[in-house]
Amino acid sequence: MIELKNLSKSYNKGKVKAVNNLSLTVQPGEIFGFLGPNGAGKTTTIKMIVGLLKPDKGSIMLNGLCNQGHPLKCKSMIAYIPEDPEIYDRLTGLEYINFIGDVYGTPAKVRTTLTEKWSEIFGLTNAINQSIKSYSHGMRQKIILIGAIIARPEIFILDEPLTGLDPKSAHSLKEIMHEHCKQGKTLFFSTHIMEVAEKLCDRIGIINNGELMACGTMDELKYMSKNSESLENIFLEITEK
Amino acid sequence: MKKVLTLLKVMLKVNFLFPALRGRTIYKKKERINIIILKVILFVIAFPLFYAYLFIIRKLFELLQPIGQANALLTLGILITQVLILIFGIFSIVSIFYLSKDMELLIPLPIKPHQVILSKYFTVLVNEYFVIAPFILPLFIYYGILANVEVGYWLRLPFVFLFIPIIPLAITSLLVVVMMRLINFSKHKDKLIIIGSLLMMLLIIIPQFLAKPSENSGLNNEQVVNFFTSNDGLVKMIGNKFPPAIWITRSFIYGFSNNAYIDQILFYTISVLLFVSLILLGEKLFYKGLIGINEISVTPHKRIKPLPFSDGAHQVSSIFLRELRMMNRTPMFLLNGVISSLFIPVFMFFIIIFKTGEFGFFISAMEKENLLMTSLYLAAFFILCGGLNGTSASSFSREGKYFWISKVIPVSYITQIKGKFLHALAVSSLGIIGGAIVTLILFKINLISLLLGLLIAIIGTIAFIAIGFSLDSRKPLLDWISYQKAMKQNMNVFFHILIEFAILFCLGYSTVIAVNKKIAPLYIIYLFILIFFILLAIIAILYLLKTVEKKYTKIEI
Ligand SMILES: Nc1ncnc2c1ncn2[C@@H]1O[C@H](COP(=O)(O)OP(=O)(O)OP(=O)(O)O)[C@@H](O)[C@H]1O
Ligand SMILES: [Mg+2]
Repeated sequence: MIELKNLSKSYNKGKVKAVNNLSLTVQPGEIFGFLGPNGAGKTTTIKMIVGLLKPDKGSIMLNGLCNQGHPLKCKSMIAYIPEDPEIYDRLTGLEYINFIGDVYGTPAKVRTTLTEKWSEIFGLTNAINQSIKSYSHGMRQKIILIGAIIARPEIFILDEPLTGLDPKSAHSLKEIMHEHCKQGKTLFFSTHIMEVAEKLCDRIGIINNGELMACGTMDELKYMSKNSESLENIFLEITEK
Repeated sequence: MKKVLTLLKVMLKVNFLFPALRGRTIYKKKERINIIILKVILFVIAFPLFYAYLFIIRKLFELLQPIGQANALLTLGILITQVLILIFGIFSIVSIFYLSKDMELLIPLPIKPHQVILSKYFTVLVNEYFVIAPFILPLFIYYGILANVEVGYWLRLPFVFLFIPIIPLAITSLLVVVMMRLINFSKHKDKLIIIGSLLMMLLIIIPQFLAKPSENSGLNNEQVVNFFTSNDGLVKMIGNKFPPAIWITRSFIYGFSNNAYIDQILFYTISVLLFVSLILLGEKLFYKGLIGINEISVTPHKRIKPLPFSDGAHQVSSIFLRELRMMNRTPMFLLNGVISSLFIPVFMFFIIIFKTGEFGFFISAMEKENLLMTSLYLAAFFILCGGLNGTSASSFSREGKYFWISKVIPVSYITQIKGKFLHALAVSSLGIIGGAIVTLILFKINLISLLLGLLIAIIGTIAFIAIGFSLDSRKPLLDWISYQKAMKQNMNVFFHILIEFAILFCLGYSTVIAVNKKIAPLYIIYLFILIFFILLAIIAILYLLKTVEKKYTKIEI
């Protein structure tokens, strides 16, 4: 479960208000989609949840624990996929996976089965012993994803995970997301792709200029707006106000 | 030329301005006071070093003035600066010309290779000015005051300062451009960059030693007379290994009089020639050396089975391993870390092997010295061997854009520091062990004094490593574009080395005074130094552990 209360964050000494008084709750077993135009504050919100940024105001509770008060416990619950897949380029894929396995304390057996399974699915089996420096953008994303799977998180947080993945891998990723939530765990992701959000998410939040404009299930969102055929129309209506 | 200027402007901004701008954040009152305190501390630390430097200049001047050879002081300064630029410029040039991250953006632009190379050359040049200024300017100014020079000297001083690095950097650039072209033929580029840079360093260093010392020491009468009748006898003798140093000195002192215009003509001709060759060669070779430099030699479709999974290592050791791999597999970091840690002992070895004649007195002095005194000498030497690699003071900066991983993994910051600490200690230990081996081979050192020296050195190194981490975690440089920026050109590393030198200098100076004036017996002095380092280590480690959580939390990315 993720509970954000009155979150605010500004950059450049308060000149840029990236997130403004944002509150929302993501229930366990739920896929939550976070939508918004470029520069709306999605990444900023996500970085606060995973502990990369410290909120100016407000609190973040993860499964009932405050992420300022219990940073370590919170971090061990989270797996985070960043927008830019920047990972240790001098390690090999496998060394990275082992590093993640070590720090999250995943037993070697589990690592082996999960890595073998997912590198097969993502087509990384041949590359896994090569330096990450030689990986393409999508391959880096996939190795981070495998790392995140190895970490066996309670809460999955993904920042635009589908951009840059080929259709087959994107499909597998969506399956991972479903699988994760079926076990009663929490998933929070940001995206620009309306169809994905519409099909995949149990609930959707729309953010614009740092403020949460709308939040709810697809039906609730439809109910809130006037011409409500598709999520795209709702999104445009809400963000262009 | 216009394009070169525009490029240069952009590069200078990227290299110098952005960190400065970023650093200008608003601090809370308490932090501002802390920063002032820090500046005062740095000043206090730098002061004795500066004082010692001026003291040495004056002593040398007083020595040379009566025999009319004071000019040689300038030559010596210029020569040392230039040779150091020749040697260490290699790293800067490889890093900024070839391994910097802006190259991928520059290649597709409609700019000629030589324009890129020129603007990069000037970027390195500007950087060198900052590096040499603190050494060479005090010498020039103090010499001017001591020698009571004419006005022309002061007018020429800024130009001379600007001209010093031009020729050595151009030579190094040329060599590097050729070297990188050759390296590009091979598959193992990373390894060859390291080997090539080291070979180039040897190429520059060894001729400095090979000049037969026997002839120089035994001057015949005619030479002696020449030496003393000409004002520039010593200038020429010192400078003969690198003539541009002579040209600059003579132009500096005489301007156009005293036939110095010949030196100026030589200087300009050689500079122009070097530049033309740099432009021509650069146009031909630069991009060829550059393209594919990031290629990794991989063997595709080769599956290694079974997958070598680790069996759940301890968090500290996995952080240690990450540091080790990230550093040793990045050529520029390896050069500045492990290799520069081994550099001093190896360098020492060569100096003494090649110049046994001149160092003979030193060796026999070491052998005759009292056991404790020897151990103190050794301690200082070992600390220098282990302390001049910037591993600890660049530990956070080196993580760069990967720093987010350190912030999201469930590893407490204290555990992370422990892993990093072990790594820095391992790198320094290599230097210390290297130093110990070299001294054992070269001198007939008593084993006890070796161990006593090692004891102080190891504790001192631990203290310095902790200080390095505190410095770098305070304000790590995370958004660098060239590897050099994260280590050699990192202010944190610079301050770290400054602090080390200052502490060693103060201890050494007090020891000399205490011994000469017989203030205390030697074993008391030894104990004092030992306890000093133990206390320093304890304080530095406690401070590090106490503040590391806060500092990590503050770093936002
Ligand atoms: N490091 C930073 N320094 C200053 N301002 C920033 C920084 N990062 C983001 N911002 C500003 O904060 C606002 C929100 O940015 P954020 O990255 O959260 O947007 P986003 O919703 O993720 O956009 P996108 O869809 O393009 O990824 C923007 O106005 C941006 O300019
Ligand atoms: Mg974003």
